[in-house]
Amino acid sequence: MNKGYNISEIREGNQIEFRKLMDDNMDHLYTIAFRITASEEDARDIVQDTFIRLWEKRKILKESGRVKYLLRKIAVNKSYDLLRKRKRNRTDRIDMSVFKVLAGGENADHKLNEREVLTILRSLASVLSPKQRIVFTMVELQEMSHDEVAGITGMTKSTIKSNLNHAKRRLGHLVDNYIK
Amino acid sequence: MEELDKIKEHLRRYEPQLKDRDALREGVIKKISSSRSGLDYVFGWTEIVWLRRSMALASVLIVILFGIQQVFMTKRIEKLEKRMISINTDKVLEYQREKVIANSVLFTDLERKDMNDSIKVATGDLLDLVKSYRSLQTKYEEILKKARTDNLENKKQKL
Repeated sequence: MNKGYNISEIREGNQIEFRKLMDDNMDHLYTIAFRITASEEDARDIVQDTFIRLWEKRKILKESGRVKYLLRKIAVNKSYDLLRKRKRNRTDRIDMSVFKVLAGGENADHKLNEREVLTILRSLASVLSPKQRIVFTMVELQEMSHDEVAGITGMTKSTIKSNLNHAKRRLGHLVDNYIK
Repeated sequence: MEELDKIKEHLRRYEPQLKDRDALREGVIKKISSSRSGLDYVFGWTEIVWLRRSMALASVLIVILFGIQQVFMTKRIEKLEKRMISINTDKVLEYQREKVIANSVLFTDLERKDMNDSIKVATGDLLDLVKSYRSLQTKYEEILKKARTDNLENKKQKL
């Protein structure tokens, strides 16, 4: 079920157990927030706020616990709020040459560095609405099922499908433009 | 689309590294340790869902009750105002007749919505007018009385 932390202890306010919970989930949450926000700093803030929120809500945690689900839900919703607040297309000029490198078949083993990933994520994000971005990240990059995404975001399955299709089409155009 | 799939694959394989995990963890612990302020004890009950909902429901009910009470109060005041004028004119007439009549005139005048044709008269002048009207009425009644008694006497003399 959970790895090394005791939910009932956390519910009672045990911070040592809560540290264990943080250690278990920190990386996973950071990856989600990083992929959605395309910002190291924002992702850190979201992870921090997510744990604080979970601590505030600790009384409702159950032993059988869907802690991971709850954490994802909080993190995704916080990321979504951040995207909505952030002005769209705030990205500066982005070096798109990385697209050509990645799309070329001969670079299949190319290992991306953080700067390149951020470049790609930001350029992809610049053409997507916050909803499309959330859906695309969760389905395509986090490989979550439509049901999971619906549970976390509160969107209907049809909304998820249509947002995903729009996102894919837009990103397809963007990538084609830079490669061809 | 094929190019997009390749890019997605690259992104999936990339695992972002969280730097300075300890600082983040301690930051959270610091915040949750200091977050228990006096306000949290005062408003801590808001975390309990059923209590929060029932309080919201109670506040809505109170607002509705307040509205109903206001309607009743307004109707009651209107009734009392009407009664006040009738009491003034009918029962208290015995001893402050002039003032009562003047008051009733003023009250009814104030209640009139269409004041286009009205003229403004000072309360003192109105009281004088009512007084003179009253004295004239008394004199008229006395004259009538006298005339009646004179008539009776004349008839007696003729008989």
